[in-house]
Amino acid sequence: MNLSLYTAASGMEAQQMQLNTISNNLANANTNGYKRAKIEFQDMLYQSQREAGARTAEGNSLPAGIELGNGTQVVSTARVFTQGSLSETGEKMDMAIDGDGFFEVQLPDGTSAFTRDGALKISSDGQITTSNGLPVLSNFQPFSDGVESVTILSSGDVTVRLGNGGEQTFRIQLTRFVNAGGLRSLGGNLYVETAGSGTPETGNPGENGFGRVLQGYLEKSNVNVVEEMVNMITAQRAYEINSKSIQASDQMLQNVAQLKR
Amino acid sequence: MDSGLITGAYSLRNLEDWQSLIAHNLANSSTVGFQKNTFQVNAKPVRAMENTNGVTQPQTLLPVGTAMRPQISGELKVTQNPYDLSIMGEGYFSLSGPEGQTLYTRDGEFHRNSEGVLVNKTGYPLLADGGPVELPPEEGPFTVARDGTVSQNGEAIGRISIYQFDNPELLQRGNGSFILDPGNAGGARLVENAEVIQGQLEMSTVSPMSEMVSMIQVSRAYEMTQKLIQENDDRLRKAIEAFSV
Repeated sequence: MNLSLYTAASGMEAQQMQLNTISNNLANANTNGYKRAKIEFQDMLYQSQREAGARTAEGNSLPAGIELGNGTQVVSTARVFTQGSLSETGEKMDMAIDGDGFFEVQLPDGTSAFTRDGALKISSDGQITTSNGLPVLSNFQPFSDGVESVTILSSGDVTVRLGNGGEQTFRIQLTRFVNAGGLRSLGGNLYVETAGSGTPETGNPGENGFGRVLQGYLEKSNVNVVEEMVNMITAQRAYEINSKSIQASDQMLQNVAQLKR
Repeated sequence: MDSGLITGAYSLRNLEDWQSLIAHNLANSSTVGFQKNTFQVNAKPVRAMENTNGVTQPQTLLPVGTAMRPQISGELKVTQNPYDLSIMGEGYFSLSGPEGQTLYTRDGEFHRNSEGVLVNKTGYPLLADGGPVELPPEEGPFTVARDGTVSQNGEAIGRISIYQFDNPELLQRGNGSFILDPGNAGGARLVENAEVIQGQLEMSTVSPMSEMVSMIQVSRAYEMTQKLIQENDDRLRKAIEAFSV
């Protein structure tokens, strides 16, 4: 009897986690380079009370048995790395990656993190940084003084024209993972490598399946607000009906208690 | 002993199983590729009562419940995620399980693992033409044609194997939306003209409305049976009072 109580509780817990995921997606609907998370469920363990195919006393075999499930479980909250829409900003240091790839960022402890948020900045000492001031690696060279203009081609070739007539050129590189969905989120639009993501692989933009770099654009989040709202409605209703099965089980237990007067 | 009491107790026990099953269905109303369980109660004759002195006693029938999983398709949800696949019509995806066994599922949420192999959410490789599907990242995006052929960069890699069973009732359910076919009792056979759609997911076949209706049925039947047991108990008590000296 208690099985159904716990089964329904597992359903409520799963829906609660779905709602948490949806809320986080909606909260980040306007975060540059944010990739929506997708929650994935599976059903849980079955208890067989009578196996199908078992022999009966009459010598026949049972056509179907009783298998009672134990509810649902959350298996993963994977990130979906589909392309977000691009919006034009005109800002010279805004870069969007159209396709596969990440910028590499150096964390304060010296290790690398990866981001698709291309709202880059130039620090006072000419270093290219993220909006949070973390240095961007990806083969970026520090800019010399007196930058007049910066041109970035989709192939990642950067030409910096300096005020004194000089020129500085370099080519930025992108990093990609076999399974970007396996990256661990650090917050701040940053991801770090895990055993599930595979090892980072660097390459030139626009070659070998790497994405192109677009100057003056930013990649918006890939959250579809309408879809999230619909998911929210289903999650809420599913939560509600699971609570109803708890109520029904409770009522049945109450009936049992009343058997003996 | 009064057989009514036993039948009543049996019935309560069955209704509890039914309620567990409904709770499980409802808990999985958002599980992709979940196929709902249905419960069927049959009356099982325990023993034909003997004909004593020309009077045939009523036969005792005990309720016996059976869980079944009708093979119906769930609604399709468009996700536009290339890793989401769904099967049109009947059939199951085949996965290579942890101990080398084949697992079957209708859950079409796939991923690419760190080696570039197409796997399900618990990391078991999807089988196409008997082997895993390898998608090297340098070849760019991949597509799945309607006949299940996976191709990347214009080159066909393999055709996703979709299986159907001759004896679906002999299959076992495994933890995690999987179906097991030990000893090939279910008679798995490849579906020749299977249709796979990329960018869509098949949702759970659970209909909350019909589950709620079943739940009301269970609750009321439970209440009635409880009353029946109380009545029987009352009768016994009266009989004891009347005949005790």
